[in-house]
Amino acid sequence: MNAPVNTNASVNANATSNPKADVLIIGAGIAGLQASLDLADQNRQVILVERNPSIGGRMINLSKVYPTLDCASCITTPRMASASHHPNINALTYSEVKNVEKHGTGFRVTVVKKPRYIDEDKCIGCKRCEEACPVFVKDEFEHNFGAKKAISIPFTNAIPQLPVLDINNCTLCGACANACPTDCINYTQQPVETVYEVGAILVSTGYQLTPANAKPQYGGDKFTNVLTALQGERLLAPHGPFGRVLRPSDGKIPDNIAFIQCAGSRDQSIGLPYCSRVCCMYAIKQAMLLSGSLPTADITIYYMDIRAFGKGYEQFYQNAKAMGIHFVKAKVARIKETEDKNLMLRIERQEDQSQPEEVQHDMVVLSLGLKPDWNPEAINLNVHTEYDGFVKSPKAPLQPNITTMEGIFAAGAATGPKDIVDTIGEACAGAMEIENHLRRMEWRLS
Amino acid sequence: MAISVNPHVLDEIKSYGAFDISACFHCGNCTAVCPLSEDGASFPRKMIRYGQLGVKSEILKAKEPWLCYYCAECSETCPRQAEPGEYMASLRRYQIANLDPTGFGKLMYKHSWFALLFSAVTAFILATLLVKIPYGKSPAHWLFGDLVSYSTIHDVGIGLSVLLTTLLIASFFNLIRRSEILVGTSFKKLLKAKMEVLREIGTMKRHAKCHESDERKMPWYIDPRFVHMGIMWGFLMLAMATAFDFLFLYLMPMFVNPIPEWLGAFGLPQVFYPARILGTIGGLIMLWGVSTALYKRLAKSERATEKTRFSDGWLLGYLWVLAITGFWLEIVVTFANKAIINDWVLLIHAAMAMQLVLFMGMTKLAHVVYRPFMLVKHALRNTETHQTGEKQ
Ligand code: SF4
Ligand code: SF4
Repeated sequence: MNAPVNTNASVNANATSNPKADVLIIGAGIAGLQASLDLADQNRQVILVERNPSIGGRMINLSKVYPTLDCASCITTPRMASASHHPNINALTYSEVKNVEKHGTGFRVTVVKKPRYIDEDKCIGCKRCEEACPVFVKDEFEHNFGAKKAISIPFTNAIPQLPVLDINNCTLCGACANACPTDCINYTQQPVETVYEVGAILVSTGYQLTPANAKPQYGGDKFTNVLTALQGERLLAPHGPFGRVLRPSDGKIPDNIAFIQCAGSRDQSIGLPYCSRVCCMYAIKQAMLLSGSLPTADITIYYMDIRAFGKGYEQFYQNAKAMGIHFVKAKVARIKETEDKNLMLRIERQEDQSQPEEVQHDMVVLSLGLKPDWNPEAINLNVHTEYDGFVKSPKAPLQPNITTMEGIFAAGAATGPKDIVDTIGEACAGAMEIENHLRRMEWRLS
Repeated sequence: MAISVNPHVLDEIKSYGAFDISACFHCGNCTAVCPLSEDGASFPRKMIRYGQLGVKSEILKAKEPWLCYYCAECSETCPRQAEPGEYMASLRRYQIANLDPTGFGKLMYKHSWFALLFSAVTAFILATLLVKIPYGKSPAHWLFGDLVSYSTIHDVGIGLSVLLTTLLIASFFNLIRRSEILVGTSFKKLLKAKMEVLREIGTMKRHAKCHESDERKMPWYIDPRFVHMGIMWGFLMLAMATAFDFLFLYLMPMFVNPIPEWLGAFGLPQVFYPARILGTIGGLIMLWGVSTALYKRLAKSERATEKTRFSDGWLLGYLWVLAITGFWLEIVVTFANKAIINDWVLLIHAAMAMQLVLFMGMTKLAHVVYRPFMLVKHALRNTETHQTGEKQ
């Protein structure tokens, strides 16, 4: 970051007056939320650091969850609300961990708060600025389906309800400042660094989707009607960008949709040899939701193996089959776009006479895999990763939350691809592991 | 016919190439990504299945290995990095080696030391056959032509051709018997198929499909299709030039003088002599093709050449040396250079050319027969019945 950094005066004046807490949690997705609530309920003081402007992570972005088909935002929002209102949790949104140092039995953590360009204490979340702003930018929460204003609250149920000004696209026209009833727009706001002293750290930094162009033969970055899995989620979400299922190129209602499994997993040729665990199930879930919204549409899932390993998952898979979703055992090798923006898939069926074949669909969803979203090298500590970039768990079978650095723990997709059920289980275990650690270290707040 | 399964076949095939086909989990990506795989000629996965099952009889008669031009797209995209493209190349080597009746093919393909030794020994024997010792002339006074007997070259050449024909007939008898190509085929169909294949060989149109897409396009002078065509056409032109040469030098002089006298006035008569023009152009085209191919193989610059084996380099190396020594000789003949070193060059040239002929059935050169043959088999496919899979 080039901008000068305001350091808290108190930090320099007297190091011992750094704000203290028991635990610092990096990443406020479902793992971070769960662990912080568990620890806070044990009366631990928790600092929850989130890079994005809202807590909630990936889960708040999803349509529904498998295998129960519960609405994802309906079950995430209460968690987000409890965490943000919990007296023992201090949620630092739009903030990033810049540095971690060992300090006594605990750590000294430098957190940078990025500027939202508004006075957060004065803002009342009225959205007048958003209405006034004349500039439209791509809506990241909707994975670029649709637009939002250059100053906007990231999404409807974001917590906190504070707008962020996109300084790179802002024209400094002043419309938002004029519209704001509490005069809180500040175009020259700077990042702020704060140093915290904590007894333990939990890494719950989650995952990112493998890039849409990881396998260039799929044209994930070129063809409008080839969607990433998360775009598929938004299409199906109750508050999705179009309010219904349309295909992006022409707004047509698709009636022949394909899911391509292992589009970014189990593929050594693109450096992703591992199974991402969630793609089979989310594809089946999306296929089911699609057939709910578009009852006459043909839906095909091209797969190598269906890995329905969790509780109730096999039944879920069988239900999908019974609903008439086609399952074709074949690895899609290539996608070509036709003139009318349909997609031609080249496959070889594994369960038929061997021969290459071309099949046409009008929309394709790539079941992309999961990659780590954070590199612990960024904080210059002894937290090692596996060959695949996920945080190493040296005591995996018995203590999956332990990392190679004492006092630093990990949970959720940060340690490897994981679904929501497993993530929550691991986050609870992590909270317990941290509690034990703090007791062993006889960590005291004052 | 009962199919016999031999679990050691895969290990045997593995000794012909660098691949890890046991890692294949049969996703079908390779067959579907292959621009040449089509209904009735599905590969590489089908061949992988045969290999893993150990169905040697099917593998030896399969046409699929020869329908592949090794663009390596399957190898690049194989999720298991099993190198299916290299596997296909190995099947070609395996077929040649196993259908060669002498047994030398297997040894040459498997052990580069044997190929080297065998080449050196046969080269030495052939060279000795071709040498005449100019008795009574001190080596300091030896001149171009003193050391080599042209008549022996021709005699040995004819002898070799007879030997080769016998060997080839044996190999192809093997091939035809195993591939069952002629079973139930009418002459008319065969003729039609042959025309189709001639067109394909001349233009290598199928090969063009390998590098059609934008990402895989290459400038023509390094495009494998044109490089391959250059080698083939250059080689054919040289062969034709040699045939003309024979006609002009041995038959024509009886009737007419092939070299117009006015050309002699320039001192460069030989350059304009038709067979030589053809030969020069052919030689240049071949030299470009062979040099480019050899460079790609030595530099291992592409996925398809990364796994280059000695046997691939062997053929290109021979062609390259032959082209260079051929030009050398053309120049010294044109300028009437009498240095004795030219004899040594001629010896190398003649001996290596003969080796190429001699080894035809047991080295990569055999593909000039196998590929067209299998293409004919493929062109006849419509006479076979194919059950098409149910489409959605
Ligand atoms: S100043 Fe920037 S953010 Fe505010 S209304 Fe204008 S363009 Fe939008
Ligand atoms: S792409 Fe690789 S793993 Fe898939 S069938 Fe072909 S060789 Fe096997």
